[in-house]
Amino acid sequence: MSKKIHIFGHTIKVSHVILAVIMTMIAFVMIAPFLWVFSASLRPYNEAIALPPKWLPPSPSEWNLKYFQQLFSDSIPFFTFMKNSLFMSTVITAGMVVHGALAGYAYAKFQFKGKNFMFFLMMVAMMVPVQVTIVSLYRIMTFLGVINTSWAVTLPSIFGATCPGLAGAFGIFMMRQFFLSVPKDLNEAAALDGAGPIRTFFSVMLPMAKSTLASLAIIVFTFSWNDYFTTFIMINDTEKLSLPVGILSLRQPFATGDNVEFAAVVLAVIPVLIVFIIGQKWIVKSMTHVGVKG
Amino acid sequence: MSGKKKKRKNGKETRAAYLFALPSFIGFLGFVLIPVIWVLVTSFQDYNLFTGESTFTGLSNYKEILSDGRSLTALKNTIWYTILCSIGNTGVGLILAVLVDDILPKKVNVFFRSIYFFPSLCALTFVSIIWQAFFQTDSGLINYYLGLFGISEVGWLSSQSMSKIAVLILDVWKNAGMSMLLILAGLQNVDKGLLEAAQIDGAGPFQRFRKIIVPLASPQIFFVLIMNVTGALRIYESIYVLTGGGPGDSSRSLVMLIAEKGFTSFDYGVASALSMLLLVLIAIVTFIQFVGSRWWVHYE
Repeated sequence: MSKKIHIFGHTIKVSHVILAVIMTMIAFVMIAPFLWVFSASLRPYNEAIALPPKWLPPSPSEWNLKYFQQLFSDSIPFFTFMKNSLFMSTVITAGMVVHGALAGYAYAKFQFKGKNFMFFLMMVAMMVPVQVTIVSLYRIMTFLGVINTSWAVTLPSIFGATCPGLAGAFGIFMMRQFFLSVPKDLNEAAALDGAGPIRTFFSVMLPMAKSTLASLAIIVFTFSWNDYFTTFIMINDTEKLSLPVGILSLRQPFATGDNVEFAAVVLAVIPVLIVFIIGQKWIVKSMTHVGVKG
Repeated sequence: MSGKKKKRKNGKETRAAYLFALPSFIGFLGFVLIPVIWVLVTSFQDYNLFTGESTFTGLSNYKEILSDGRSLTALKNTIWYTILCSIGNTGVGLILAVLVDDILPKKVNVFFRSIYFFPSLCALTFVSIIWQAFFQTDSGLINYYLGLFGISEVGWLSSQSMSKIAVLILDVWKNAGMSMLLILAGLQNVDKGLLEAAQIDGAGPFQRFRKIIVPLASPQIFFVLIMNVTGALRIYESIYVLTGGGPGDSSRSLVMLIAEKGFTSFDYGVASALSMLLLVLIAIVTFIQFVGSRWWVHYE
């Protein structure tokens, strides 16, 4: 157990070295698919799927950019998909953060008739996934005349109907937990200064909740960016689809992935990777937050 | 005077409270509660696509799904996914969490945490496209590497017995990092002094894991388990991309059947009955977990 070796003047336990090797192997399993798809997207199809697999991309002089060029051409509306995804995720995130903060504050700081009953109903809603309600949601959206538009996805999603567990009623719960931790004295001080409840909320409470709001926004944005099911059901026109649904809509039934899809996956994952590298601390923190509060 | 003023202030506060709570509550009514009730009502009806009329048919939709072999297969598959995916995700997540908690230096841990978590951030659709290529019988690299160990070709996506296992592997690869991160939040609350004391008393790493780490982090593990179970009950995208529900119906889940009945054959009645079945499953599982947690979850 406590055998030690010396590397570059450091004394390291042998068990730690073994552990590091195991962890590195797991890490390879986690990133191997991304390495492979990057390498495959830069090669002609036959070479891309040839065995043994090529994990590393070819040298830059041999890069085959044909598939990326196809994505940039008019034949594939890749950037329309991306724009749609960005629009829908932004609307959903903004909407969720606004009403989540408002409701969380109301449930934490005010006494009003029906409060407990309303809160109980919302928490039960966390259990109901969109897959259960999709048949009626589809008919409601048809009735509202927004079927086959991005609103058929964003309207229910703003209220957490499409991702209840993490981004819906949960958002209200998370905000309520935060506002419960704010001392009462602050409300009283604001009231003494003559601020009404609405002004207290916007000029005192909201600025304090910045980091919780950011956590919520990150969670909601990630989940709506990746959402497939709701968009798949609600939207028919190719040019209105989000990125995940759009890319799959281009393939033939029962097909397997080809290089254009691999290139699309690379372009779709790169923004996630960049955001992750920049905002890593925040993202990890906000996900951990979910764990602690849950 | 002051009483009147207080009353006026209370009125103002109550108005503000409703104003704040209403947007989310109206959204909840319109997009969750009413749809659930409507699904319940529709599940007792027969919907005519051409006239748009619904007629009350009692339990006939439920009888239909209970006598339909496809629904029962989808139900069985969904239960299979739920049990294995949630155990797999929570188990692997727990192991990863222990590995990256604090045995190695902090910088090393943070680095590995990020790598393990990264798949969880990517859309399931995209990673499914990659794994579909990996799982191919003769051109896939998984069979290639298995072949190096002398294992003969496995029809991951083309055999009825393996298709669900392929979905399971993808699911655990994709989601274990998320479980890891959430469980990690619980591990960080475990008193490190307790672990050191146990080590001095001669407890090996497995004993420390079983007797100290798991019980103390059990609220988080339990939360993650619930999340994974309810997630696995709605499994859809990975199957859709990998196998399309096949071969035959061998990997088809309940949600895939709901989408097919509702939006390909527009049989809203049967689709709604299947949705209610899914809701009942979710309710039962949540109930069992909450009751069961009293016996084994250690709350501080």
